[in-house]
Amino acid sequence: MSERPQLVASRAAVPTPSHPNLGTPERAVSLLAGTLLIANGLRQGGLQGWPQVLLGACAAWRGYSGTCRIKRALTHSPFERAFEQDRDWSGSKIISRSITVGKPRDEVFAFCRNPGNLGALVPWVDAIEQTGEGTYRWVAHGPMDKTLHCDIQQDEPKDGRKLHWTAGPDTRFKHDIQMHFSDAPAGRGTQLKVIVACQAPLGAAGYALAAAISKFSDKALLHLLRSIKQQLETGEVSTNRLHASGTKDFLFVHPATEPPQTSAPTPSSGGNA
Amino acid sequence: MRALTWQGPNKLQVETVDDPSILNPRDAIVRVQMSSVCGSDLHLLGGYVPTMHAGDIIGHEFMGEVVEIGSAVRSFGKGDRVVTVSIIGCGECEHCRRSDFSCCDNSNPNPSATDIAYGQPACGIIGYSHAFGGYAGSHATYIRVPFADVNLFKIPEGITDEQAVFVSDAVPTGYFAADNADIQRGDTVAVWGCGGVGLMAIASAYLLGAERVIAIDRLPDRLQLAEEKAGAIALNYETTDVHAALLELTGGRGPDRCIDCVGMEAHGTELDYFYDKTKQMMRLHTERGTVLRQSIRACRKGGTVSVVGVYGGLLDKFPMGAIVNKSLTLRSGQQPGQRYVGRLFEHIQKGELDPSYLLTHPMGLEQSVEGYAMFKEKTQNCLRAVFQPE
Repeated sequence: MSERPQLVASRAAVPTPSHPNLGTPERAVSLLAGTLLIANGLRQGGLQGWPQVLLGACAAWRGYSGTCRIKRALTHSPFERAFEQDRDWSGSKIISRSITVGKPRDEVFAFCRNPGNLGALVPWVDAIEQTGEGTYRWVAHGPMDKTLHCDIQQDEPKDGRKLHWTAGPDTRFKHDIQMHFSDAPAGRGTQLKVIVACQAPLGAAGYALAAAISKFSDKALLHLLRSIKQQLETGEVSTNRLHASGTKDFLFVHPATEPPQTSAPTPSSGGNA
Repeated sequence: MRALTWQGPNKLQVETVDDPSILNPRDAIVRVQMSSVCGSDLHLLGGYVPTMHAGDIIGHEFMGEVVEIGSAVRSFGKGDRVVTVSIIGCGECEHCRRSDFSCCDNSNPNPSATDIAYGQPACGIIGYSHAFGGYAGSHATYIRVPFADVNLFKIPEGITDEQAVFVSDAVPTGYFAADNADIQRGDTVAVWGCGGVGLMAIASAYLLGAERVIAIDRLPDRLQLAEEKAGAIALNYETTDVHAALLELTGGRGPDRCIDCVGMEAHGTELDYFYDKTKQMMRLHTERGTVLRQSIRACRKGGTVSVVGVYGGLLDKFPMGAIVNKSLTLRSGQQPGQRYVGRLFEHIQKGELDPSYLLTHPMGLEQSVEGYAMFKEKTQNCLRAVFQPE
């Protein structure tokens, strides 16, 4: 029997009155605040009063049932909690995407370990400069003609199964990116799983902000993985443009970029931008 | 070049746009010689497909001449007379290798929309909204065709332009519908919708061994074509109780195979149609499922319902109980035409299949707005308007 893998997709259970997710103090505060709001709303009446009654009723129900969906949404997933413990981070938001590439694992691994290959597939990356042994600066063309950069440390690859990048020590918000490679069943190529973790400070507010940003990151990750698959399987990345002049992505308009020219640029040495 | 562009729901315009160019090594540029309207375009026109942008060039069923190829194109050269399958395959992914080209993993440059809606990104389709790739369509002087070696097919000698243009979509879609229905020798097949795809599904059902095909529509001219050109028994649902008629024609069993060639904008005369229509007008759901419900209800126990009519989103009152309790098989998909083109050309060359009668209204691209109006309103017995860019 296969060992059950730890899933990034695991979430906190949906709270019910028999399995509440609020503690006694939280329930008491909610009940008290709700009661006060209802009383004040009824006293005031009219357009000012009834919204208070409604809000108060919600708060009172929250306290009575002991369930809160907002708290659940802001609860770190089991995977995030384990990751935070492992890295000694105060908070994190983690996203993951997987894709199957119809090529042998060593070929996919060799392609992905070369930052130059990955950067060429991201429309808003202008350049990747090698700044030291295993360190790279990703330079991006940002909104309003701003140039953004991010320093990334690439760890020494392990046995063709894992690549690991971390944000440089001077980066304000830490990132941790893992790419796992495994053989797909029945000779269907390589399963590529990417896990992107972003440090989320400032408690629940920071987590909510990181969760909102991660919606965009997830979309970008989806596009990148599809592009890797297309480049490796077909030798090109599909496009719907009429011309090579300008392309849109979901953030802003960027200048045209040249895709990698070969069908499978798989440098045996790898690692050079 | 000139092109027919979508400007908003029920607003089309012929305008001058930039010529396409080779962007990837496996691209080809084709000068369009014939480009047909298709019933599925009406869903775009009606605003039922939400990812259309003003200025998008529509059209996906076409033939023409190769005028330029990318550096990696091996099978074609300038001057080749070709037809293009409208559903784009890359030829390399797991699905394309299985000949399931319409499940291609690599042909949609905009994977996000269908990833959210369907759980996995759909394939790319020429001229069919940004959800399906945002590719420029074929109602234009020129078109860029990606993965040319996979999606272009040389038109053999002896096959006319009028026959070849429909091998792009209507013929393979109809053939795919019949193939998916798993027709056995002696089967009775019911086909809903007698547009171009429906008529080709009828012809294909006979090619695949059906003993009898029953065609259902409401337009007398199309029902007449179904009888005279395709050899079906025609039922007008406005003057016939379709369910009772199908049972009557099959000894109470119901058709062995049912094929839905109508899709999300089905018409009907029963209460469920008005319910669907109201919800669709209020944008509460996207599909009108009259035909799908009717075909599932009519199909014999243990039979197959094959769906090639286009559905895009959510359908209400879906009769799952009938599927389970009658042990029905439901099969569907966009057409993987690449699988069939060679076989279809052979049928045409042998005189077993002739789709050219679908072309009822040849016209210039400049008249394409009027062509779509005629096609949408079903006036002048318009089955297919086909544009010939100057």
